[in-house]
Amino acid sequence: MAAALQAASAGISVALLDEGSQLGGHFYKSSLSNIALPLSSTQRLKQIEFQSLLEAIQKSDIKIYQGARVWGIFDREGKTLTLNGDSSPQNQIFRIGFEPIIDSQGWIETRSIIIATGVFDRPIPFPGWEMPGVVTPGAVQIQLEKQALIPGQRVIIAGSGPLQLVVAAELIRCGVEVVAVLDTSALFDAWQRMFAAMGGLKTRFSEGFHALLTIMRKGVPILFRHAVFKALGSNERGVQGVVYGRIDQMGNPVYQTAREAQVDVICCAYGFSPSISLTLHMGCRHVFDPLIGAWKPFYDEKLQTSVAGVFVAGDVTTVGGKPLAQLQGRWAAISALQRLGAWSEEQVRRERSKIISAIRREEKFAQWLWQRYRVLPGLFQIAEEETLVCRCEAVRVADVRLALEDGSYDLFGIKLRTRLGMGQCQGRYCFSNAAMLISLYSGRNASEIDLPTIRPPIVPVRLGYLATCRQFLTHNEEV
Amino acid sequence: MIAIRIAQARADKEPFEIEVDGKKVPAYAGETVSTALQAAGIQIFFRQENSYPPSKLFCGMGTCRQCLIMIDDQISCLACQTLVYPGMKVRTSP
Repeated sequence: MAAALQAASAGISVALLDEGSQLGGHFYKSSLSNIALPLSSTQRLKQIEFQSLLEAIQKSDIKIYQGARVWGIFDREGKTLTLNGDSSPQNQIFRIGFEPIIDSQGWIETRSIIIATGVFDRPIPFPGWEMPGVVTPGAVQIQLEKQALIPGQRVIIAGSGPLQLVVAAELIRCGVEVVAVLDTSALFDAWQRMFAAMGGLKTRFSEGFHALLTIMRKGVPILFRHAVFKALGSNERGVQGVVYGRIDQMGNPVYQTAREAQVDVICCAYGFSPSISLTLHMGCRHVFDPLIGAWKPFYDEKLQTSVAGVFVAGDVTTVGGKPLAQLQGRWAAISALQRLGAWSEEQVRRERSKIISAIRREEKFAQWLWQRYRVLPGLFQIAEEETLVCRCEAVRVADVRLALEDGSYDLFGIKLRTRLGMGQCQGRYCFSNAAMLISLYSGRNASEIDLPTIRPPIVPVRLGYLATCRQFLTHNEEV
Repeated sequence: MIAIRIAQARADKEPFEIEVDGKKVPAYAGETVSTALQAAGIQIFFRQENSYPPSKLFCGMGTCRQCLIMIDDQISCLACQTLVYPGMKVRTSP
C-alpha cells in the first residue's frame, strides 16, 4: 500500500493486486475482523493508522484488484521471462496473470512490478507434526483475533520468533492454559542483544514487555534453549500430548532432558519463510539466508531483483515488521519511478538520503531479531525416519535420505525421485527444510544447494478460468 | 482438541445452520468453515483414502493448503479462507 501511494503520487498509473478480500495484509488483519473482541489500545491505534492509509488509497487513482491471485508473470507475448537474471530491456513490458473474482479479464500489463508477497510461518518437521492440533502461531493469532475462537484447552507454544510471546499472552487473556513457552534462543543471548538494539525502539519493546508481564504474572514458564521433540496422539484423534526438552547451542536435541505434558494444541514455528514463488518462477536470482534457513530474492540497493524492472519490498526481503516494510515500499516505488523516467535523478537523490538511513536503522533491528531467532541446524535432527518432510505428497525423511543415497544431488533430483514439493503447497513449506536435511546428510552448505524451478500456475487456479486464458498465452506455455 | 467460540464477540449475531456430512452444524456470519467445524468438535476436515495425512487447520492464512475440504460438491476448497453461508453443504470424506 505504501509503495502504491508513493508511485501514484508521481502521477503514473498504478494497479494494486491484493490476494486478500480486503486490503491491509497480515499486519492490519486484526482491525478488519467482523467477529471481534473489543480492541486493545494498540489495536485501536493500528486501526486509526489503517483508516488513514485506506482513505489515502481511495482518494488516489490507484486501481485496486481485490482477491486477485497472481499465478504467473510473463513477457508481453505470454512467454516465460528469460531465466537467471538476464537484464530485461528498458521498455520491457510484463504481463501479470491473475485469477480475478469478478472481472473477467485476468491480466494486466505493466512496465515495472513491485513484489511484496510477505512471509509465512516456517515449520521444522518433528515426529507427529502433521497431526490435527499442530498449528502455527499465525494460525492461533488469526483464530483469536479474527474469528474469536479459542483453539484448545491446554496449549504449548514453541519455536522461535517475536510472535510466540504475543500469542501466549493473548491465549492467557482468553483463559487458555498455556503449559509453557519454549524458545530456541538462550536467555543470556536474548538480553545481551536486546540492549544493543534498544535505541529508538521503545514502542516495539513495550508490546513485548507487556506480553512478557502477562505470561510471568500467570506463572507460565518460559524455557530458553528448549524445543518440541514429538507430538503425542494420532492423526485420527489429534494431538494428545507433547514431548519437549533442552537443545544445545546448535539446536541438537538433548533427549535425556525430555519431558511430557498433556496438551491439545502445539503451536510451533521457527521464524518465517519468504514467499518466493513469484520471484522464483520469474527467474529472479535467490540467495540462501543462513539466519532464517531459507531463500530470499536477491536485491540491490534500489531493491531491484536480478530481473530489471522487478522490485521487492517488505517482509519478503527481511522480516522487520511494518515500519521497515513501509519504508521499503516507498523506496522500491521511488526506484521504479526512476526507471520509468517519472522521477529525475535529482529527486531520487534528495529522497534517498532521508529514506536509506531510516531503512538501515530498521534493518539493524531486524538483524538483531534474526540473530537471536536464527534457525539452528541441529533442530533438523529431531525429525525421525518416518517423519514427513513434505506433507502434501507424504514424503518421509527416509525417502529423502534414500534419494540422496540413490544419487540425487540437489532439490531437483529429490523432487524427481520422491515428488517432494509437487503437491498442493508447491514446495513452499518443504524446499527449505529439505535443503537443510540435504545439508545435514551430505555435509554440504545449504547455500550450495540449488532451488528447483517452479512453473506457472504458481497457485492453484480453476481450470475454467485457465480455459479463458488462451488469448493471454499466445505462446505454448505449460499450464 | 475442543475449540470454543468467544460468545462476547457474537452477542449481536444470530447463528444459522450449515450441513456437515448431512448433520446440522451452527455457524455465524463472518466465520470461516474451519471455525464452524472446530467449534463443532470436528478437527479432521477431510479424510483421504490413501495414506496421506488428514486435512486440518495449520497455517490459518491459505498458504499451506493443509485444510482442503469439499464444499457444495467442489473439491479442494480452503476451510480456513472460505466464509460460511446459510445452507452450505460440507463433506469431510470423498
